[in-house]
Amino acid sequence: MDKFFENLTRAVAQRSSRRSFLSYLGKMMLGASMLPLLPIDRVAATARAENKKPNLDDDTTCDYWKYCAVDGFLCSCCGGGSHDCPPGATPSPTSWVGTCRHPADGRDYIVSYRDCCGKTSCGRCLCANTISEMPLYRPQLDSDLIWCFGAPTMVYHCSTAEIVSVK
Amino acid sequence: MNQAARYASTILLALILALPTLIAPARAQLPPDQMITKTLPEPAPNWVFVLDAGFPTTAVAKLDIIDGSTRTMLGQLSGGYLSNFDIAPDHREMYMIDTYYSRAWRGTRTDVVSIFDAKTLNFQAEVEIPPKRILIVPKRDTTAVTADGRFLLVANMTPATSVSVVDLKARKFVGEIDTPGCVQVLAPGNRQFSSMCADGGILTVTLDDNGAAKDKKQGKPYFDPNKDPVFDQPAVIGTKAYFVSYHGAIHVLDLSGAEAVAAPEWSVLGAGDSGWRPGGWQTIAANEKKGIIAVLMHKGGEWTHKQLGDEVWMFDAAKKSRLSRIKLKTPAYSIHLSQGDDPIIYALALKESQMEEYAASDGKYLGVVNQLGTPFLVSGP
Repeated sequence: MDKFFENLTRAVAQRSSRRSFLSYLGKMMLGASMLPLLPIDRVAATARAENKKPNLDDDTTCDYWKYCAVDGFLCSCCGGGSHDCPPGATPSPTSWVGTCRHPADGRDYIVSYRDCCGKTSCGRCLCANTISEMPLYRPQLDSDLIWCFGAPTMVYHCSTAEIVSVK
Repeated sequence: MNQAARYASTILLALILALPTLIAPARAQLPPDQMITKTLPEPAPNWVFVLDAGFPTTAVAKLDIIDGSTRTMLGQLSGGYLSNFDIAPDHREMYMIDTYYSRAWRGTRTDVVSIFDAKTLNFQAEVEIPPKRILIVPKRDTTAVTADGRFLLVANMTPATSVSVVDLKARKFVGEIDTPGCVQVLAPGNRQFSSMCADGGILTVTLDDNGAAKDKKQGKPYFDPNKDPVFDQPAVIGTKAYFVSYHGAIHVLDLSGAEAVAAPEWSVLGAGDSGWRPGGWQTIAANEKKGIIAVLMHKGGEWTHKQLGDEVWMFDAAKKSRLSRIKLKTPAYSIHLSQGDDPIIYALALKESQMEEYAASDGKYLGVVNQLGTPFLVSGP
């Protein structure tokens, strides 16, 4: 538990991030009384300025390069992988998106942070990135919400990071 | 040893052996224990409610009821998945706003308001609400009770945003009100609530006597979330909401009218305070009677808004000036001020599962209540 809270509460001011809804969520919410998607370039620029070098080797640590905007228990510590759900968990169709720079090839990759849902919290390897993280009135940038919208249940299990494309 | 001495020592030994038998009749026999279930008195100003989300297994939340004057646990309430807590303004009932799956982590989702008697802590009734309530690491203003205790309001996100209205008198769900672009519920009045909007504005919804929306007004933004967002858990005392921003600005909004009214903003940072920022979970608290505000502070850079606070800074709300800086023994995540004449600062240390207490007047450390699980929210009667 100590490790859990260390990770939960530590300042994670070393990763760049940029989040937005996937187009799926936009489509899903069309016509609903949704909160507007908002410009976040300014926060992304700030975040990049404080970037530190991430690691390329260990996807069970918060500093792994793809996790620059991850927030939650890492699925790679829970029987899944950096972009795979553990057995029996369901990938959420909704997510937020980050832009992470690969430390070796120098390219910026668009990364989708998809939660795995349908089991109770894994409880291992919590990473709590707070760069560009916003309060609840900007929900698309709020990482404390349970991001299992559209999944069979809203029971959160763990978080993954999926490369979508090169930016 | 001669004969006489041997004789004397034998008598002495006999006396020692007989001693328990000789003194026993002098001690009264213990009566049999009579087992009862305790009840609670009327909440006192220094009582404090601590919500434990039960991380990392969040299916059953827990609410601790603690007497802050003696630092003793008075009792607990049980809840469901990422529940929230409220108390009736007349202190006769307590509410847990719960989500349940029929098989704990699978099956059909049911959201309910669970009603407890505040004296016995017995479960009394439940009101089923649409299974839409915001599921989040506990945030206080995801639910609220109107000042007269008639309606309980539950903020929803599917992710479309709305508010479910429960008539507490009739104990039934009466309807849902859309709050496009705005979330959470602050309810300082009898027939209205306020929600925080994505553009930095406040939506004020006026209710009729049946709990339906009569009027909705959204004023101009009060702050710019792109430049300096305010934390989403203000200290709400009476009809005033005290917001603190990531960079330390204080925005006071009067929520009593049909539209929120802002007082001029000011900063908690003075000359020489560079590098300090508000941070944590519940970052601000207020005591209106004494006119004081407490803000949880740490030293850190941009985006360190969830860093634990090392100090609580006390301010005179009217003079907008700092009264003191109180160094905490253990860095805290959430703070609260009791509403009595001699307020206590309650500081939740999440990692240590404990709540520390300090005198707001001089910062004196008063003591600690430990073994509180994962305490995120702290509030008072």
